[in-house]
Amino acid sequence: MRTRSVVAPALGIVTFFGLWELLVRVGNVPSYSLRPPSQVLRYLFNDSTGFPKATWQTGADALEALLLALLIGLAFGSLMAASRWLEEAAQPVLILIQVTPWVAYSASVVLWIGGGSKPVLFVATLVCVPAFAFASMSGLRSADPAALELLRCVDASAWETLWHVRLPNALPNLFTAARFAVGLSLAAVYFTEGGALSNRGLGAIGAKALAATAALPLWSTVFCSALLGTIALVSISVLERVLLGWHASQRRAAR
Amino acid sequence: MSPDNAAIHVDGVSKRFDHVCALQDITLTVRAGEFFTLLGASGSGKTTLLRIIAGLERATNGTVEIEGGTPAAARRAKRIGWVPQSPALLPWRTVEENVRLLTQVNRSANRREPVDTAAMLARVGLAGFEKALPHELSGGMQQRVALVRAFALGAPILLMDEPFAALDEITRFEMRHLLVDLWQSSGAAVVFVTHSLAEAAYLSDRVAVLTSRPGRVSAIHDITAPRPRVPALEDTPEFFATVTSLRDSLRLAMDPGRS
Ligand SMILES: Nc1ncnc2c1ncn2[C@@H]1O[C@H](COP(=O)(O)OP(=O)(O)OP(=O)(O)O)[C@@H](O)[C@H]1O
Ligand SMILES: [Mg+2]
Repeated sequence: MRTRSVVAPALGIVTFFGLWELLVRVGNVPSYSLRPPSQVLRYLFNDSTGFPKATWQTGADALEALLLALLIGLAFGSLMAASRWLEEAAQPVLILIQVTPWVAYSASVVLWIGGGSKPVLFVATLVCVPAFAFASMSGLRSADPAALELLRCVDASAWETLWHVRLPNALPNLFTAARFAVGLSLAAVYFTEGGALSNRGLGAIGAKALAATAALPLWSTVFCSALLGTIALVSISVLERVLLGWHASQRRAAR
Repeated sequence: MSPDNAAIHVDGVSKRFDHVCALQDITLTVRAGEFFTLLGASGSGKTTLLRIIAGLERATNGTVEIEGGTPAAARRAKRIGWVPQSPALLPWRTVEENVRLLTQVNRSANRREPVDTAAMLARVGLAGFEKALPHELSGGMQQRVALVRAFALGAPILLMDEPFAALDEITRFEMRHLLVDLWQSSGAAVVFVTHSLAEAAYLSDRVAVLTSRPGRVSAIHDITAPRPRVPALEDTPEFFATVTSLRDSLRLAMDPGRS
């Protein structure tokens, strides 16, 4: 069972990259569009400069946006869970943020806030807030009514109830939201970096490479972003294992 | 006016939900240290009455006094231990953390001498399970944790809403013996809701039989079996007679026209 959980995913990845390599080499794919993964990797390790720093910057911005969105989302979610009025007032705004394609307005945000990392953080945080807000609202609200009643019988304060019952109950939802937000945050950071008139991050390298139709640096930014996303998801899974050991989703199957 | 040694005094309480009259003119007094059972068919308003006593629900008419004060004051002073129908354990807390939950909130009202919860867990057969999570326990074990959690408060009043309703007959049998054991050394007054005749007969000092829609007290039985009560009591003719008279009383309450 242990070997299967290592071998099977590795096999899947190898097959995927193998097919890609084959498709590009055998098929008639122009070299300015798609490159075989072997070439991208060779470029990344031998010829490139600035990728480690750019990857670090993009990763740091995406992480910061995620944490900010988590805090803001939790605050919104708590208020919405406490009051139907606030929920109904905030819901349409959050849904608007969620459904509006952020690629359409991110350039305007750069013009409004200016270049550098500020517009990047702004857009990435903004687009991630609704997921965290909705997750915390439903998680805080869905706490076991019998447990809430139990605490009422000893006159626990709202804070004590939040801390001991509602927040732990919202954790599974928050983890689900975080998995979803990782990709969103990375995409928003990458894209906004590209339009942020600066040399910061993978997005800036990608935008320049695209303008020069240079496929190798462009695909190198794709690989580095994928690496960031993978690291983020693995970290989330590890945290989940530690914090959600009690939850049905984390229990090891009996077989 | 409530008598001096009253733990709970319910005076003329009625409760109406939209079109249902759930409770009508309930008056009863639970003495300090007494085991008082509410026996009634489903829908007779037992849960509603218990929630009104705890102040979790507002009565349409009438008043509830707990130790001479309001239910809210009793909750603030942590004078009420609540045992819900489901164990309501927090799934992320271990057994001992669940047992301690109620002492970790509203700390200023905690008893000065803490209850020895480890000994209590051992007494209900949960020694060695202190670090277990709720999902690792059987339903009966979870309900035992819920009992210990309530007794761990050291509160003089315990309100229990059919705590054994979801358990099988054999487990229920064990649970009522554990409950008597814990209660006899606690000195607390208990209001115990059930529709099990055997539970009512084995546990109680007095049993109030409720009618349905509207819920009213149709009879109050004194259970005179000596204490301490032991499992062998359930095999005696006296116990059988008590169960029979409770059954007749319950039938009469459910369908007054028939007799
Ligand atoms: N929140 C509520 N809204 C409307 N009606 C209610 C509500 N709570 C209880 N009732 C009604 O009040 C009556 C008594 O309900 P209650 O839950 O107190 O009965 P019970 O004796 O505890 O029943 P059971 O043995 O099934 O638990 C029922 O007819 C029920 O439909
Ligand atoms: Mg009930």
